[in-house]
Amino acid sequence: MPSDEDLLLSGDPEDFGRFYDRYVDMLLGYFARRIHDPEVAADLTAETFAAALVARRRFRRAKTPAVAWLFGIAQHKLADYRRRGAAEDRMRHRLGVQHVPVGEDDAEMITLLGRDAAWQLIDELPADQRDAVRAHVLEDRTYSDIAVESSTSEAVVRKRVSRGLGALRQRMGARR
Amino acid sequence: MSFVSDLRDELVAAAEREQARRLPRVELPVRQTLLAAAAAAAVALIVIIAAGSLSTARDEDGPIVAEPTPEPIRDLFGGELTPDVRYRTRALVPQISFVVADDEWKTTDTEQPDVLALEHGEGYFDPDGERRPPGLLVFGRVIEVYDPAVKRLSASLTTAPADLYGWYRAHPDLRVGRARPVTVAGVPGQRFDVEVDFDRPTHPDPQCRRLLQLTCTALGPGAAFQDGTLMQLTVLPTEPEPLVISVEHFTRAGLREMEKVSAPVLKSLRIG
Repeated sequence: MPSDEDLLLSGDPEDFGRFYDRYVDMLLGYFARRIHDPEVAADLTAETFAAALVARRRFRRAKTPAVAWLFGIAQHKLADYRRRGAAEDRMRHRLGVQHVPVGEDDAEMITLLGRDAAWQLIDELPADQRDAVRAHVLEDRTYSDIAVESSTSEAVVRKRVSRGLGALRQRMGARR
Repeated sequence: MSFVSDLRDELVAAAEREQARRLPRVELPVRQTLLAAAAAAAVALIVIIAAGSLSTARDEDGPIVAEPTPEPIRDLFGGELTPDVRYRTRALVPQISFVVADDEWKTTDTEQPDVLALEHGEGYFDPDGERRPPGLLVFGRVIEVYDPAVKRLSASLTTAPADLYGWYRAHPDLRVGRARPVTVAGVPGQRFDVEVDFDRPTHPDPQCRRLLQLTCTALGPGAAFQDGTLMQLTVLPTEPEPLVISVEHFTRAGLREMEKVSAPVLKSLRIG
């Protein structure tokens, strides 16, 4: 089975579709969990994949796993959304990707993904990593805030988040 | 779920268009390619000769070079930037104009008189889970700074020193390389490398934390940097304050790439 990196860097357009298949639910859940608006979650997901399609030639295989790279783009889109109050459509516009409407069933499914997707995976982590990843990645809290609350150092929190994300990446890889 | 499948179709179709857009160049017959290259070379030669006979300009770091043919000029607003168009700032003091050479540039806030940030590429998520912004090319005036010797942020605000290089070198959150002479837009100045390096910032930036959930060191109002930021700073003695040009990224390779893509922008830079 081809790796994420192979699919991302492949010249075959259908391979980008396969890469999309692997992560679209997770990405919808990631945005839905944070935004609580299925339409915005759908918009941000579409813009994230469009940005990934545009930027994939700059992806470097050795530096970071493709899924972490994709979620890096997602986090950037989320920060943009929070700053502007609206999801941008720059990359979709550039690629000529049409706006895809979100129906009632879609909205319900996206809401469910927001409840389940991220938490399911994170719940399987060891407790210290789970709490750190939840606080930093899902709740957007700073390392220093988490360190104060858990009476430990910022370096320890960073390590827990890093290990937790590493384990998540492996877990996601195992489910491909 | 129709949204998911419809979006998939749209993205795969976009990937096909992207692929098709690149293929024809590769598949040109050899003769046609050679003719096209010869024609392009001839046109380039004519342009260089024509431009050279009309005017010359001193470029960044360099000797006298031919000035390119005039580009269309547009006032700068937020959004994606188009290559080969000269953008003229509306708010920044001093007014500048520049041309970008590739289509990965964008800017969001063009209404500030003190700073203009151009972004290149996409942001990413580093292996430690920290969000990193895209590469940046920032033009700004340093009017006030936070004195690192004064603990409380608001009390530490002071007028920027005349010797900015010396101030950067003395700041405990920065590691600063040797200054070297450089000329940008015909203005001689200094260029040096800076690495932001702190365990706990001397002055944590409250905006950075509140808006972006990040820990940053505040060097001055509106100038906050995450640990690990790498910068190439150029200080030009313009009026009313020095113009500081900063090329930024979080990795050495990223900074080198940013320096590369920023070079044509700086070559095209005009001040005032």
